[in-house]
Amino acid sequence: MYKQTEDRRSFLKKMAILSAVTTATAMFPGILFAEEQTKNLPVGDLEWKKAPCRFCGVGCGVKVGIENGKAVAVKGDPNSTVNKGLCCVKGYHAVISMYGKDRLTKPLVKKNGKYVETSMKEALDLVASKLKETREQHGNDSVSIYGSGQWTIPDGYVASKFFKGCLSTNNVEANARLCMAGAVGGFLTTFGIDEPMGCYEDIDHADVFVLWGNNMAEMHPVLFSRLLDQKYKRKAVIIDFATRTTRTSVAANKSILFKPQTDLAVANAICHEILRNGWENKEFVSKYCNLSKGKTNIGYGLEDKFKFKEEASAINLDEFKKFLEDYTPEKVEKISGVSAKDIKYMASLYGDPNKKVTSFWCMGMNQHTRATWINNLVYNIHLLTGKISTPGNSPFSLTGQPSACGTVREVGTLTNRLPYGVVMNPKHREKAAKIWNVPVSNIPPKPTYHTVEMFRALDRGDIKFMWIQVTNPMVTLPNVNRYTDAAKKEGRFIVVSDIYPTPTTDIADVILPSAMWVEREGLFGNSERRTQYFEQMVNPPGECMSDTWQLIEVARRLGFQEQFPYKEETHIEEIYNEYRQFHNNKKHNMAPLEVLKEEAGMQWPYVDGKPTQWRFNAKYDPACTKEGFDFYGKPDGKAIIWQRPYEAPPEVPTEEFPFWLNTGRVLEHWHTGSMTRRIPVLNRAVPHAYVELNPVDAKRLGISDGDMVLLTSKRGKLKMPALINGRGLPPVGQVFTPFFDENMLVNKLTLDAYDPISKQPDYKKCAVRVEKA
Amino acid sequence: MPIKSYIAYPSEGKRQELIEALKEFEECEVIPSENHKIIIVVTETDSKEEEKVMEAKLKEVNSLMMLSMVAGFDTN
Ligand code: SF4
Repeated sequence: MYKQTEDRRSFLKKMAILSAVTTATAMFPGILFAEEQTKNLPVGDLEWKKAPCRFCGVGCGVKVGIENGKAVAVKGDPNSTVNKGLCCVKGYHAVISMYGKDRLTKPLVKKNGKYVETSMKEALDLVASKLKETREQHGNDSVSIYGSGQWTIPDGYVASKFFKGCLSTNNVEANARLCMAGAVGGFLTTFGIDEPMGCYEDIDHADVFVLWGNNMAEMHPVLFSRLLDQKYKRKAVIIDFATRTTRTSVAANKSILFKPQTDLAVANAICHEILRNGWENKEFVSKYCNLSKGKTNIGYGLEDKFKFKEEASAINLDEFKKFLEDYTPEKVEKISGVSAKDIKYMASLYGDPNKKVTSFWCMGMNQHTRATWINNLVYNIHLLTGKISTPGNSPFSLTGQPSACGTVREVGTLTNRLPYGVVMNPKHREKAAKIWNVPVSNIPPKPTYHTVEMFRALDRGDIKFMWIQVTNPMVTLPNVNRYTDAAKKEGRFIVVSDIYPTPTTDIADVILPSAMWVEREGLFGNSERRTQYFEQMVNPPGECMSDTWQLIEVARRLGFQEQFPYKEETHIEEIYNEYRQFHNNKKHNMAPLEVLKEEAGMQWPYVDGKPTQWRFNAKYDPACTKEGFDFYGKPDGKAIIWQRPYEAPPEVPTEEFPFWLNTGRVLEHWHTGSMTRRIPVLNRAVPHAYVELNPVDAKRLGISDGDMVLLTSKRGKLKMPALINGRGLPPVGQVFTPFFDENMLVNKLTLDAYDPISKQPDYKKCAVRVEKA
Repeated sequence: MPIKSYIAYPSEGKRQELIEALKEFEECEVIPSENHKIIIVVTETDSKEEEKVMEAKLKEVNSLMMLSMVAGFDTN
């Protein structure tokens, strides 16, 4: 057992064995190891406290080991139904990211081009006075806040209350606009209410998993191991439907590749086949669905101040069938490169009444200039077949960040949203004003800027003050050069709250050092509507302060003591209890904090002391008011099957720029790498970005593995080393590069086009030239 | 001084061969499952360079189908 005096090396070795045993046990239930080899495990005498993992939207429950006031180890929480004791390599090393050598511990203020250390009090005074002065000189909408899906629930809540309720501006956005807005667009248009109807337990029931552009093996590794477990145990079938071959494709039963953007056409072809073969669930469609069509040729948001307004009209099933005649498998084969045989095979899986099917997706469908449409189309397949809201039958949109759902979507930290409803609705504004203790006239009735437009407004000078918390937009914004230059323009004042120096702190006038994860108390909400609490386990270093408390301090300096009366010792509990009032109904009730403190998270709606696993199904969901299914987000309780066509993307390869460029993540790094690059073992595993090329293209261009390659798009140039036959294999004519490396900013090349409905940009396709450098 | 743990998957029908091959590596501790084909491998080397050399040698083992890292620490 672990003792203070025990050799550190032997302690770490035991931890490494423990991690592997725990992982194996979770992946292969019932697996045994010889007792003599594992008897000294687990490592004892540390104090283990529960938390959700800091990194991804899977939301694994972990136990953090504390020793002498320092977080020293992580293991999976066997009580968590999410991961059942399992963690991925990022989760196991999460605590190391708290102790990087260059951790920001003191506030820094830019003076004559140089950063000067100051006290937190002075830094917050300066932020408050600049905020006040900017509003007085340029109006309420000249100030803004930009947060993220890594904001805790209380962070996002006080940001929204402060800016929307007190400062009277809807200039509140979060980076989830760059990753989840398309999913929200899909939910709202199809069901009238956000977030998945199913839960991870669907994995234990489904016979077939169709992964739509979702490299789960790297992006949602713990969930993927649960899928693999079902593949081995129950012979569940995994179909990887993607634009490049990845670790997921290799582990799947079948890999089907499609040309970028043509998932729209393939989804329609699947519906065509389902209807042609009479595989639709007629009773389900007639009782629980309406059909609609919307505007077409909707544009791409490339110009500043782009506007879009949907025009929906009802259609009938015959009209829908007629529309689908353009999407026979044979016709779609020509657009998509997917054989008619494979399209029919996918349709037959969805159409088989004896198979339960779960579809998973994440950025492939959401970072798409037709993100809302492709979300609608996958729902169409599940609605036509009635495979929804029952165990194993689930269209399941996954999230990337630990609280994209819990904070951005549920608290509503987007320009158009409130914690309950939207700013455009007078009743929703009244409710917010009452709970926030502000006059209703404070909350403006019109949304202002979504993320890309917010940064364009900063460039134009319409926004002069921006506070950025827990995100790194100077790495993640598409066409990032424009926005880096914008932030440096005269007359802009940028505040950045973060834990390490990043390209975003480089553009800051004030840098506020933040307390990270278990250095403060907080809550996250994961992909399956699970809210998870974590206590403060260790003290933050230096003057680091939680983002929640930074906002409260500044709000009070601006005279909003009455709205932010919380005590420092109990503020998280007070804020959570205030926030819960917004969702005090059967459709979204949240578990009390005492419950969350005890349990490894709880799913909402939490009604009569019970979580809800499957929404919209009267058997499981107490919010349903009729028999069978009740899609209660819509006034008549019916979900919408949308007629949406295939439309080409705004930029396609040409003679001058002949390759598709796709961007994304790798298993070892979290987003922009600002945390995981400080974890030596992960940084060594993938020390820098690279460009994956197909060997055929590489040979033709005379490029060998490791050679420097010059990528050029209409917006910029970037040199990076080639990776040939690495972990991913793009088809001929496509390249892929991860975005975690701030020294190789791939977003200099990407296009800031977005989905007109959800305003989510597309990072998965633009045109580039590829040359040996 | 890096320490890493992995889950190793043997090639079809080559589990025993893989266990034997891994045991040949001085830097590896091998923990085979009692009732499943997978094997836990813990590596302990003196430097990053040594670790790289060992990783390259491990990749050469043809009874090894896949090696998936679970945890890694540096004792320095
Ligand atoms: S899968 Fe995601 S939540 Fe789970 S341990 Fe890995 S990074 Fe953390």
